[in-house]
Amino acid sequence: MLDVRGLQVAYGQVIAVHELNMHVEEGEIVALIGPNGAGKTSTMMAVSGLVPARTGEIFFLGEKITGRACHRIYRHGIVQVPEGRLIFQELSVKDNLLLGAGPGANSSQTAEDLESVFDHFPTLRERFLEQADTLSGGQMQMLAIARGLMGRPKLLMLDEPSLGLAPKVVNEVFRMITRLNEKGMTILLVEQNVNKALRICKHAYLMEAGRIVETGTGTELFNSELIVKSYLGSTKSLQKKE
Amino acid sequence: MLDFFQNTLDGAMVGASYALLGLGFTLTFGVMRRLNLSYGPTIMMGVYAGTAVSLNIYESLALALAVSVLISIIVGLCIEGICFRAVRSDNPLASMVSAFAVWMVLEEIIILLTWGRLFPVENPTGLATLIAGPISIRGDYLFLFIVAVVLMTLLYWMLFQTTFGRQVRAVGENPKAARLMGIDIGRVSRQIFVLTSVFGGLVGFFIAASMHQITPGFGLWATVKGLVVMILGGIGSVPGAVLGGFLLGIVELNALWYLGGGYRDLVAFLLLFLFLVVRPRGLLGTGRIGV
Repeated sequence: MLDVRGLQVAYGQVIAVHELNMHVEEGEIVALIGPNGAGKTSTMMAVSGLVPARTGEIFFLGEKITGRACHRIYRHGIVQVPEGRLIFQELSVKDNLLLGAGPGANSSQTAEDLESVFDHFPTLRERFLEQADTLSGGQMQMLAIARGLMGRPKLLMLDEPSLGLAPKVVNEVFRMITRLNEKGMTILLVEQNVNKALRICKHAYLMEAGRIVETGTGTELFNSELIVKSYLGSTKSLQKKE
Repeated sequence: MLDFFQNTLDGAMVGASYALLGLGFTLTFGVMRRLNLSYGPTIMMGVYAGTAVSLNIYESLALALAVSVLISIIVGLCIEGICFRAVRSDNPLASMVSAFAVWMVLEEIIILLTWGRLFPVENPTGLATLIAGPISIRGDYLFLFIVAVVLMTLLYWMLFQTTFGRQVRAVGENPKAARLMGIDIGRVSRQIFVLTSVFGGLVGFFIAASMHQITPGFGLWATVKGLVVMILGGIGSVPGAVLGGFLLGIVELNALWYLGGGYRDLVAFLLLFLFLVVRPRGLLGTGRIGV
């Protein structure tokens, strides 16, 4: 579905992503994991068109989308839920959701999508007319995902959805992601919470310093030495004790 | 006391037109994050064109207004292309300076075409002064006030009830998130330039009519008024711009009455400096930038 070939992203002299190859199949959750500053977000922003690709090509459903403007890529069905949620705080929950439906949305479709979003996130129905900055952090993350879903994505890209949330809420967010995937949504997930991301994903790519250093299925990476050593050490040993 | 009341009433009527000029700056700044210094001269071009057609070709208020709006839109879009689209957004100063340069060019064009003469702008309403007991209401001010209030109501409706308005507010608050919602920021920018040109051309014509003339200095006048109103109201605040407009009008007309004509602008600038020192966020500003 999504095919990234030889992608390079750079900000001035600084190269953030080197020669990256990545592949997302329809119906999968693919996780892009790694430490802060590894280039995960830059990769995602190159796919959504927020930053230009210096070299390389990105194909979506067989069509080349490299170099297209952000709002054009959006129309192909790629929706990015950005890091830090970027909710429109001065707007109502309703306005946020309606904006998520995209500029060309027709009203009957939007009403339908609102209902299905409310099924997933009942609190949003209750807070529908309130200003978005009255929501809690977890609710804002739910709103950000709901807003992304309103755009009827074919590929939903979630950038650090668990960032800054309480552990209980993090679990809820991951459950939500799994549930969306079970209903057929293709998801590209950028996460620093390596443990949780590897548990729910089909495939994973580990990025370090702008390069992919390891790739495989979620379980493969979960057991890979590199990952255990650098990311899961403590959690894994804890689990063994259990 | 009666004088004060009369001045305040006149000031509120004039202030409504100031409010619209302030809204022009606030909306453009909210969407672009960059100052369009050429907004006043854009309006001046429109009003000159409308007046010229009405004086030389066919005398009709509707035609004059239509030409005024049309030319304002064309000039506004040119400025958007030259000073904003062609100049990348990472340097707001570059846009400001190029808008200033375009301002000078526009003023020179008008001076070349008209030999620097002022054009008379007939008060189109022909309304006589209304006398209500001890208070009198200038017909042209009342008309200007009505036009401004109608335009502001329309603008409010557009901003807060339509899809376009929702997009404008989204871009104003967070351009990056707006792009991720599939909003074409360039398109919204052009739409906002058209919108501000339309109401600028309309209200500018009636302002000129209440002064009975249009001069090449009108661009400077309108830009200064609009900027002062935007800062008084709070940068980025739509209701703030409305309040700021009324405040400026009321203060100006009281200064005019109690201190004399030479003090009108002086007091207005004193008010501006007072705000910059005591309350730099303005009346309703959040200190944040956005619509």
